[in-house]
Amino acid sequence: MAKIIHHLFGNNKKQHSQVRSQLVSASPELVSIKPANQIKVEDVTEHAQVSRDTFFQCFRSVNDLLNVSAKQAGRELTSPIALAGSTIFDMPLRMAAKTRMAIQLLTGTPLLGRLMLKAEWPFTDMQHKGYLDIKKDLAQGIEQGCFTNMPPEIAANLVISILRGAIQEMIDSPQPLDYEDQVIYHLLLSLGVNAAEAEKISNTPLEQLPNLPKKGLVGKILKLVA
Amino acid sequence: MQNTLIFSVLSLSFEKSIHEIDVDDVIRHAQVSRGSFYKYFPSVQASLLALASQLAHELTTEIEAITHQIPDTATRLVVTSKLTMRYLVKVPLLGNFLIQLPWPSQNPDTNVFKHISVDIELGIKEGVFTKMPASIGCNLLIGSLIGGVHIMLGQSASSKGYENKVLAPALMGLGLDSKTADELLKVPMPSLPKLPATGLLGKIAMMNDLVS
Repeated sequence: MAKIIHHLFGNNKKQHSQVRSQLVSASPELVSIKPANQIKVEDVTEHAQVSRDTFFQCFRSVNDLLNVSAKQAGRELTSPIALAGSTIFDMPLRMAAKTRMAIQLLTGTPLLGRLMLKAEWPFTDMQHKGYLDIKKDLAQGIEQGCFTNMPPEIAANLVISILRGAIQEMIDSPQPLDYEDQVIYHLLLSLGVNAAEAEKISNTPLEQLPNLPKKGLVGKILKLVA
Repeated sequence: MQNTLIFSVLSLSFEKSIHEIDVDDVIRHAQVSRGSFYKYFPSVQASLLALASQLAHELTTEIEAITHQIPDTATRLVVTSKLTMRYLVKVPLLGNFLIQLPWPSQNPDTNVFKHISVDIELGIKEGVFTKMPASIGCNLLIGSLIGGVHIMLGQSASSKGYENKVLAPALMGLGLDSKTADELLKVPMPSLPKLPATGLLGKIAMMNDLVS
């Protein structure tokens, strides 16, 4: 049995948040050891050398921990993707390019994709950087008349649903070569882009993938798989 | 015994998030020993899946009893989707549990949206929807549906008509033009069936009456 280094007594806030972030930064290793839905509290406590009691002071469950970690990785991925997309002014094109980036980055490193799929669905964190970025693009596209006029949260749900689904399918089993193109095509149709334009955009491959951050949870995952 | 345990998991899911239920909660609620629990289920996760699969079976049976006589695939898909959304919103205990299940899930037994997937596949074969890997259409529609139910459950005001706003873009994503999608969404809806008196749904009906 591993030695327990951390045990939280009382409510020292600083110590509490230190252990919390220590547990979050242990999640890349955890998901690399076994499938995310088989990770038990014991795995976490043993790996991070904290007591069971301490774990439950920081998180409600393993799923809670992985959700927090997935959301952090999502925030880390938002800036490079948003920056790469900011040079594209046509909203359907930008939407397509950013969705492609997310699919390629997350399926290119399946460990990253698996962690990201542990983010809660339905998504409830309306202030999440990534969620806000998606919603902003959609709202702008709706305002410019490129997309159907619909409540932006419905449009955001479309994007996140098709993205989650595509990542899961592509990580789990081999898909046709044009799977990603078809995902983009149907996403654009659902947003109200006409078939001819959706076809044209979905046949336009991505020019370049943004570089992934070398730090943080994403950086840690990349080092693990390297 | 297995049913007692499942009932307990169900009751607990009304009190807390399904991700927070642990073995101690279940054995305390069911008043059984830890050993008895593990005789039937290897983990809480397994008991949740057994519960989900039973609920999925009961719910899809109820809905299919109404929709199976609709001959047109796209109409059946729309009516099934709307009935499912209305059912989950009208019975929040059921809706809140089902939308918390992992999605996308690779486990067909716990899939409440099985009939929706079947009709999307059929619609693609019939040429009603664009030719595509069926998973794309299913993820688009089912994901939006779950997201929509979540929003509707969180709204205090009546969410009448919101299902159509959620489903219209999803139908266009399947390749229907906006006019066809609108017409399908205007098809008169059968009334929502009453929850049955038996099974897990019967139990939920009883508890739903208590809280509402």
